[in-house]
Amino acid sequence: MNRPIDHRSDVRARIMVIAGLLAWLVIQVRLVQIQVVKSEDLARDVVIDRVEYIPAQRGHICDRHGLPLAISTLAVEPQQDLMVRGPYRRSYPLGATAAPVVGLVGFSTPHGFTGREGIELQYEPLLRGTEGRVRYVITGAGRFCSFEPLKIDRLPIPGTSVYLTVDAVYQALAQIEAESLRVRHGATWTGILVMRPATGEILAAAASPCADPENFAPGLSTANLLWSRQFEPGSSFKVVTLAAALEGGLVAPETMIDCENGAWATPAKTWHDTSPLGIVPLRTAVAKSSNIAAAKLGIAVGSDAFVKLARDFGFGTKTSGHLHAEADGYLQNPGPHRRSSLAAMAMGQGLSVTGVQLLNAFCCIANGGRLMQPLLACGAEGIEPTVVRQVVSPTTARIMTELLRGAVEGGTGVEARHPCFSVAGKTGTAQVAGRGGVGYLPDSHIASFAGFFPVDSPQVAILVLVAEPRGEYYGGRVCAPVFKRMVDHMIAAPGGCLYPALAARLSLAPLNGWVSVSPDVDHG
Amino acid sequence: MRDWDVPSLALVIVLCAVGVIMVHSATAGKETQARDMGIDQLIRVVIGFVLLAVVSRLPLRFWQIVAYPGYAVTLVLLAVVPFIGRTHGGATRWLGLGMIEIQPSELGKVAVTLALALFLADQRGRRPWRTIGMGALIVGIPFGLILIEPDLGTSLVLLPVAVGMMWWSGVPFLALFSVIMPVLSTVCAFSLATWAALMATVVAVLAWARAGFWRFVLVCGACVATGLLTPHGWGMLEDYQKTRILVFLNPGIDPRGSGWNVIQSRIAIGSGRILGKGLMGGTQKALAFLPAQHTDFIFSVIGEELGFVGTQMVMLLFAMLLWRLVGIAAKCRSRFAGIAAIGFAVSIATQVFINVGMTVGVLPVTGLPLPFVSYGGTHVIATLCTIGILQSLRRNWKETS
Repeated sequence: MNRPIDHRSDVRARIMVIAGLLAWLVIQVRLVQIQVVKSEDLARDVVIDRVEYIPAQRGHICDRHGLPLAISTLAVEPQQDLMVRGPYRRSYPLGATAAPVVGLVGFSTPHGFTGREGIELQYEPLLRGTEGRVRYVITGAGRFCSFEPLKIDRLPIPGTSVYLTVDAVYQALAQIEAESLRVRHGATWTGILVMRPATGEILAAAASPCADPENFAPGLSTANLLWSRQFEPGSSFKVVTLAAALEGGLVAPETMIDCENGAWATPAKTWHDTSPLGIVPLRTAVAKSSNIAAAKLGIAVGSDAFVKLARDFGFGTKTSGHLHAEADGYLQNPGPHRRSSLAAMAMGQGLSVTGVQLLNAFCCIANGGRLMQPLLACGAEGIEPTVVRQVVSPTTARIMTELLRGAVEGGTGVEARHPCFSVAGKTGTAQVAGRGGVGYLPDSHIASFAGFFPVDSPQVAILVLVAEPRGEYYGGRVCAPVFKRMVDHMIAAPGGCLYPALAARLSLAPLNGWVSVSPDVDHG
Repeated sequence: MRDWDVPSLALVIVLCAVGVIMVHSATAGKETQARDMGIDQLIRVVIGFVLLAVVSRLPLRFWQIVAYPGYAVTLVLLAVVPFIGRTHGGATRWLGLGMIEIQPSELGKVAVTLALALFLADQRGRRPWRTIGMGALIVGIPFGLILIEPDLGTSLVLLPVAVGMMWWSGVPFLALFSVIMPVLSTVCAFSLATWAALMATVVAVLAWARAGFWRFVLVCGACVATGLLTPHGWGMLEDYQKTRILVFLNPGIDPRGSGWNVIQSRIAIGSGRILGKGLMGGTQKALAFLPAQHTDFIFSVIGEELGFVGTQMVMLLFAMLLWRLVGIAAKCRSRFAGIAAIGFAVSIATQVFINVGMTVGVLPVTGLPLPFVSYGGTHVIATLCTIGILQSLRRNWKETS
């Protein structure tokens, strides 16, 4: 009874102490591991200050009336956590309709959206605004943000809205036409450009195909083909040849030109006309779009004067700094000895232009010979129209307008005639160069019609382009009717910016709703 | 002074002082804490020491008389907790008595220890299976009641306490071994390698002890059976328990959930390095990265602010205290006193091991306080009472009952 525990108590106590010691050692090993061996790594994991950016609300893109074409809306209820992530959503109310002028954004940085194409890209610094800054605490390993209240360093400054010169009404009309035109003719691409000659404002720039920014599919782009794609213009380029000859005083509208009955053999090449002509006045040669007449005029002008004037019209260089992905076009002086090259250029082959260059040249003629800078966008403060240069004299411009009117009234562009307005314009049917610039493809054409109306004080210039249509391919057949349809649409759209001016000329009281202005429109 | 075991008392006072200072450092001047809890802790420590002094004056006889009735009362309290208890943090562990709240599970540890000691004191090692069975029953009922609160940590402490006390009371090694191993097999079954090591140990130890054929077959069979049953039992665990075990095995899986504690705690301790960042200087702590830093994770505050030196000091204090407590147990002439003393010692040792092990990431997060140091009401007072009882047992060490 004096031995409280059994006889092996010493052994048992020792074993217990050893067991405790083992457990104690496990802890000690771990403590040495954490606090001595790995402490460097763990010390790096302690809290540090983190700076994160709060995306600013991106500026809107609106048309000339303030109608939104691209807007930033709150994607979710703003929460503290999400505020850091960026709760804005970029949406495009008109979808693919305005995409050729607006472009689109990409989801790039954690700061939010970044412009990827079009105005979204060109006006990125304005649209983006200044992101806000928030400080919070995170472990060095970058693992978690703290649950402490966020400290806002700087509130985000929303981006500035950008206003386009584009009229959403005309843009929608043009885009619908461009889409249906491409489908109807099985064309590779189509474009309809509407500009205001007096100011150089782009009222609509429709191009098809174009990506839909609301349902963006990889591979498609919103790049506007009217200035990103260059092509050989064909006959519509003859305005430059004509202007050069008239400005040089070489010809007058009544000057007789021998069109060689449709076939002109030169040492290098034999040139052909689609509709053979004999000895006719210049007026008729222009109306019927004689290649031979254009070639003779070009050779008469000479390569230096011809190329200089073409450059003055804005060909061969970008027209403006703020059109996204604008191409230069291709214009080379062939030199005095390559007459066949010069002849080809005089009829619009062997050089390439963009849609906006071509229509801006027509605007120049409509504007009394003053070349304007094409305008697409401006900030909230607006922008003044800029005269680039006086290209030809007002007299030359007036004569040219008269000649181009003839091309519509009784020439290749007759299908662009409109019962209510006098129209001046020029058709174009160009061959498409083969790959590598060798020869021309047999059945590939670019049909075009560029024109303006009303002739006495031009309000609108319109370019219709159809690349590689199947079947019918003459500019006069494919594009001229679309020009007329666009005119119809524009005078029948009360929402458009030119409606009051056009309606006044038609002696129509501005109405609410659609007006029928010609018998053609009723069943057209 | 002869009535007191001065070294153990001095160690407890130092540990409690460290606790008050660290709780103060962890809570003072912080926006997320309403007040300085170091003051609260100091008040509780003082109350605890008063009770310790009172309890230590009680005669050995008192503990023998009170053991079984106390056990019965505790069982009742534990049984009513799920129905009338107060819930904090998803666990119903507290009984409210007006202003104060008590945790019956803390009382349970003391009551179970005394009751088991009284029972084992009467067993003379003759019928080991009966001893083990009855002992398991005495521990098992409160174990189950505490487990369903849920308070896994406290209930787990009871198992080593029971094993230690049985071992001390002279239950034959082989019998104890045969019972423990199937239980351990359950835990080890989560990792095949660990389980294989366990089975190898079982076979080796049984062979070394020259166990009979039937014992060999039964023990091995039981280990295999429990090992196989574990996956089934896994499905019955609470989600948070599963998460805790999984997170323990791989803290990276849910860094913002349960693994948060483990990672932050380790970062805090590790970043303290050798000398620490100084009192009040912890950055992890200051920004409330550490959850429950003044209670269950107080050791990581020590690690961060006092460094390796601080953790070594605390570990050394506990080692010296436990050495002293085992010494007290060995000196007691009364079987009851000795077994009860070792029970309290094992209880404190287990809590230290589980708490520090959890804090440094070698054991799962179980929500167990660090004795004497962690902030807590019932826990601090109950643990100090335990020391008081040990003083009482030591004072009467010559008594043989």
